[in-house]
Amino acid sequence: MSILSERTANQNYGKIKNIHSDDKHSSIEKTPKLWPILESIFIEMTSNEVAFGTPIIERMRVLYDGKNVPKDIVDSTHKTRMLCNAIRHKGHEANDIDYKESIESLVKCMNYFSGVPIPPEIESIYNANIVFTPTPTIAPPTIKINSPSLLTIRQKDLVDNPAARLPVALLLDTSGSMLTDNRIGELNKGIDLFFNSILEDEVTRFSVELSIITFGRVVTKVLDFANIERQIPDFQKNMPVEVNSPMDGTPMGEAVELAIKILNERKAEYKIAGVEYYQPWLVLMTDGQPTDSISNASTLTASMVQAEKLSLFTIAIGAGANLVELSKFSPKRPPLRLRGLNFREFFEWLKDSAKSTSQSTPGQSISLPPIGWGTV
Amino acid sequence: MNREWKVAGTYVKGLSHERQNKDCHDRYSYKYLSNAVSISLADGAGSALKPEIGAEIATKQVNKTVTTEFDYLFNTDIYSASHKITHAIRTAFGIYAKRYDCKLKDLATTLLFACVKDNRYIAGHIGDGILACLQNDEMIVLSPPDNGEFINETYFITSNSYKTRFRLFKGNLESIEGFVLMTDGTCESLFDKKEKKVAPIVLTLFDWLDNFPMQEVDAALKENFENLIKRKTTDDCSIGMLKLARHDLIIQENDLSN
Repeated sequence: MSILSERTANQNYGKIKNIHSDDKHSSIEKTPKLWPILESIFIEMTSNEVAFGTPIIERMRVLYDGKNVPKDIVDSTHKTRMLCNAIRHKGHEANDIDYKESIESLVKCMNYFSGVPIPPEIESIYNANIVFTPTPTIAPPTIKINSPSLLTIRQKDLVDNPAARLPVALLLDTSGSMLTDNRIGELNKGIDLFFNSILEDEVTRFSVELSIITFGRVVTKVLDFANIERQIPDFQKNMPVEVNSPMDGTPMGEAVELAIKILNERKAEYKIAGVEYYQPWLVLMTDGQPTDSISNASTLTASMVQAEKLSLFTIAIGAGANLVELSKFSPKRPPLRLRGLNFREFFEWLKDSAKSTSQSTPGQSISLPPIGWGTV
Repeated sequence: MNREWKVAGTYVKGLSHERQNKDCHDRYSYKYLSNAVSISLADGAGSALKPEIGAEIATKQVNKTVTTEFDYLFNTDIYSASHKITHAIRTAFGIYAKRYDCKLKDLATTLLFACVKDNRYIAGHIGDGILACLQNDEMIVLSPPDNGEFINETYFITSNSYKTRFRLFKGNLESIEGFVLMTDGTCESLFDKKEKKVAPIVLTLFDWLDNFPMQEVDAALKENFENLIKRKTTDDCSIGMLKLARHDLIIQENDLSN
């Protein structure tokens, strides 16, 4: 049975190794770090069966009920889920046995559903019969410090500044032509992937704030800027985006003006709250050409791009997109044409780019990942 | 009371540079000369080719200039003093740029410094990070971060706008007993950005300087920055502290026998 990808299994094995090799934290502190792994594997394994935001317990039921999954995997993953919930919501403190059992349940589950063997290094954590001998490596130079223990800063002494935000406005074409080749369906799948990957990443879940605006029969703000975790109910309620009628137009100018308006409003809120932020992104995706005037909107975005106040990505879907009109929005970065309906790769790239930007420091030039999903 | 100024500081490589196997771009430096003592801190620009060299030159050159020229800088007007300091650093950059076959902008760095002599101080700042002083047991921010609109924008000693972005402060110490400099990586942990206040723990760090030898405080700062401060950011982190030692606070053997 392989419904969990090899990539995800190997990634999570790596995460578990990292968690375990952290000598500075105890089992009590390390056990809650296993929750995102449990969450991510069940989200991936049930992404086609249930809606986004479905609780893990429901996902487990979907996966296990009537499927003849070995009882020890079913029981142990449920136990790990309950343990993590108790830690997260009731302040329960895990012990060393809990920690090792949780690791065992996760890796056995991943092994069963992906077929990827459990690395001996991980097996040796919970199975005393396995002795793992790491490959000798050259020890990094250690700093010898004889500071008195009196001179210690503690975690509680530090200030908790909010993470700097990266506002990303997605402008999506929902005109009638998006029904061609089920473009709208593929776009929705890509957005779902994007939202989830932003949510699951330890950097972007705190930095990226998403807004979604559609333009078809009318211009609609589907999702307003907020912390991504707080957006889950609205995302579930308002997605997927739909095409109302094959005759619907492409009011792109109005949509861009609305995006700029809400970006400016969000920046004003950041300033009041003392939250730092990165240069906002506007991602315009269309398969056609504007059916309203883009004169104001393109003047606005072009001046913002020139003044380095906005990063604009214009993405053409299919051969019918008017690249000449799209290029008016962004004098610096030319429109990019999506290769086929490669939304998945595009949104993976967008998420990786958002992560790079969210970790950039002053003066650092941000190099976005290479573009494999489209052409200039 | 004996007026002894003590200094401490450190710089550590951030997690991002560790992962990329790059050098730390932050630098801390200090200099005692006659009655003057100066501390400085710099954060080399990530986009520059040789930011660590720029940071090194800037910290050392500013300490040299302000300690040797303290009286002139203090007595002249702010514009002339600013010009003298920035000119000295940019001239040093020019010399090193030639030596390393690079451009001035390849040495781009922010800079913070504080220098005291007798009962007077001169302090300066360009870019992000903060410069604060200890006055009546409170931390007062003299110079907050100077970013552009966005968090990943700031100004450098090599920027075209350096003349207008460079901030210089000088005056009599009166009740000022210390200065602290932090780069932006450290600000993540020790500066409340919303309230624009220095974390109270910094008062404790000043107490360390009152009660322990400077080398021990340096080592403790290094250890704490490696183990804790740099874990809250991916950026390099550094701090510099200058403190008028309060010998009256140290318990002497005589006190114990009374």
